[in-house]
Amino acid sequence: MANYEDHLALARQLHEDMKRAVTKGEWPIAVDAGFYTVFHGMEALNALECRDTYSFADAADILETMLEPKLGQQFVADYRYLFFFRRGALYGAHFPSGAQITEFVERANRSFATIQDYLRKAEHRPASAA
Amino acid sequence: MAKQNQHADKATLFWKLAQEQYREQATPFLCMNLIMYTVGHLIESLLAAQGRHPGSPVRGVPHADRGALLRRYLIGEGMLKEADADCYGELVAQRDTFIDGGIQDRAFVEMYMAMARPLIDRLQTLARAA
Repeated sequence: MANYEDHLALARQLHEDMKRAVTKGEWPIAVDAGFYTVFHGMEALNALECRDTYSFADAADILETMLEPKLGQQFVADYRYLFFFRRGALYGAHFPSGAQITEFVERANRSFATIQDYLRKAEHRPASAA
Repeated sequence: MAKQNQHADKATLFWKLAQEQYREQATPFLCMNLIMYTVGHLIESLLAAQGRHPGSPVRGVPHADRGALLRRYLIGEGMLKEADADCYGELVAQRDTFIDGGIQDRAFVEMYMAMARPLIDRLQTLARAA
């Protein structure tokens, strides 16, 4: 429920944190930072069109009803994977393998690249970010 | 659902990372989350010892039900006090992952750590005895 600039700044910071955590073998930080990179990237997109997310269920609804046409089915599938993987790995019993972390990071990178590609188009930037 | 020892192992891992990240002045958003995950796993380790596991809303996370079970079973049976439940509720309420109030800064995470540390100490003592 913040503005475009704050969501994007946090997403970029967390993306760097995810990459650094992977090199240090700190998987919980990689998973948390990776998921929230994509989440706040999505929120930046939402802010462009005066939308805010009030819960994770709300985020999923907005993704499927408003963002999927812009970002594509692969993005939606990746977001769902990231969300449930994070919940299981951070809240549940699971300790992910190296291969699972690699897949998670690939999906987070692909999702954030999709968001950045969309935002690079000048017509999608808010006036304050031009 | 995770077992008591699995929650205890994750609490140990998250607390180690939380303290390291805090000392290194890492991204406050991530420090805040690691502190909350430590608290969550410690509470769930105590609940798991009584065969209780919080549920989650659809497409959500289990913070609210964890708080309800904390009051019903851990305070109800005298293991914790009302003030501990109030502290847990405040930690959940102040953990603004949607950054409604702006991106967390160092001052915020110092306040958050100061609020959480006494509760973590009490929960660790109880968890060791469980």
